Amino acid sequence: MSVNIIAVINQKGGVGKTTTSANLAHALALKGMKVTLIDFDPQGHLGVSFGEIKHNAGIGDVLLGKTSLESVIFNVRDNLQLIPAGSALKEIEQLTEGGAQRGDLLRKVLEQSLQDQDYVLIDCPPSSGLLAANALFATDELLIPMSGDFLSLQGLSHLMGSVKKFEKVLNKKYTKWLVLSRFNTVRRLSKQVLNILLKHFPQQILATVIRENDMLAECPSFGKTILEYRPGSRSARDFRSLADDFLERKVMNGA
Amino acid sequence: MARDEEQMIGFDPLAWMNEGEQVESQVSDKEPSADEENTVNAEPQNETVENNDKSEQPEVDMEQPMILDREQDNEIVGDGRVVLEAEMNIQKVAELHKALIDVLEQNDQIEINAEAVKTIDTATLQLLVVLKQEAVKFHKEVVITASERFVDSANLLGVGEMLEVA
Ligand SMILES: Nc1ncnc2c1ncn2[C@@H]1O[C@H](COP(=O)(O)OP(=O)(O)OP(=O)(O)O)[C@@H](O)[C@H]1O
Ligand SMILES: [Mg+2]
Repeated sequence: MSVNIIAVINQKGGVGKTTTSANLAHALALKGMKVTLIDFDPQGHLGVSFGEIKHNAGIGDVLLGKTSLESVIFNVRDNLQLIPAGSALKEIEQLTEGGAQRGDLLRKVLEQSLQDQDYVLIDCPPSSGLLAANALFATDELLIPMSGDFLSLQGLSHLMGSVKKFEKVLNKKYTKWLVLSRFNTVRRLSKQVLNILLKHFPQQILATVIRENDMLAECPSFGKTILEYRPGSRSARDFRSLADDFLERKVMNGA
Repeated sequence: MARDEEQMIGFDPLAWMNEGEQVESQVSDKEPSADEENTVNAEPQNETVENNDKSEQPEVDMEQPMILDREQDNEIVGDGRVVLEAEMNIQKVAELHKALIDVLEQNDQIEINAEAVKTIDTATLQLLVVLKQEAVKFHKEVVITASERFVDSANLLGVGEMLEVA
């Protein structure tokens, strides 16, 4: 079986990419999957979420050819590995040399690597620059976290514009999964946003909705996922259930 | 009021995705999508507000909640010009929306004068972004002349470039 590489992507900031990456990955690992997380955001928040703050080297150095991928893989939990961003990652976004090659760095690095893993999740930065391009080159599958507000629809529209361009140029079709990662169940606007999403992404929205909950915002400061910080909380349940959806491809049915 | 049924999203930014697919696949047995309801020329409005004797805008306290004042409606000058008032907020978005649909229908070039704007909220900025995008679709042009405040707010929200005021 080959490894599934999935970009957790949305150029809109703060929609829950990192929260989803960290907690979903941990939930999958707890279910026995072998998972590698790549912190592909120079902010390095994914590493922080696991209490991994000391790493200087990371995926950025690997992409720049300064070190090997193996040297920046860290075991952070059972079944769960982290490849930190490292301080060099921000240089990638600014690369001006290398032409089209610049977009293809990550794909090349991952090509023959991590073969013992079930899933590789790439936590993308909130931008549509070179890092996002690298992620889109490297994967055929996208997990798109969405919050339930209007601007995130706007953001999604932009993302889909880029995705379509990539599909044309690279001659491939992405498998797309949407996850409502910061959903306010009481807000009427959220429901209307969801209806619009269901219309455009039928059978592509993972069935479990991650509800808005402060605990999810608290746990990174302890370097813990929600499954460690409050394993009995509804947010922990949300993520365990999302992991099942993810594995079984369980999606929402249209209205 | 039955707020549950009320449409809280004025425009579907993803509508183009379906359009694209329909063009690509040529044949489509789908009903015309409901998206069209939200496009600019769907419902003609004639709520053009004649309000030319507008005197100086009163100074507005930025922190004060705005009370909707019919007398202060955004002015439509004719010839595709819309003048935004000093304080733009969500209460006024519906009206502005109607007014903009109107001008967009009747003109190929629209000038939005936002030079007097002192405060503007996200809802209004969103609406303008949508207008810009719609205009492109209909091969029309929207030019915004903006106050510093407007530009700051637009940039803060990351829509400055989209609105071409950055
Ligand atoms: N379901 C939720 N309930 C409450 N808070 C949440 C939820 N999801 C995310 N948050 C919080 O919202 C903030 C943004 O989330 P997160 O960092 O995951 O988004 P992001 O898309 O990765 O952001 P960026 O674009 O900056 O990388 C964080 O403080 C996070 O803890
Ligand atoms: Mg993040």
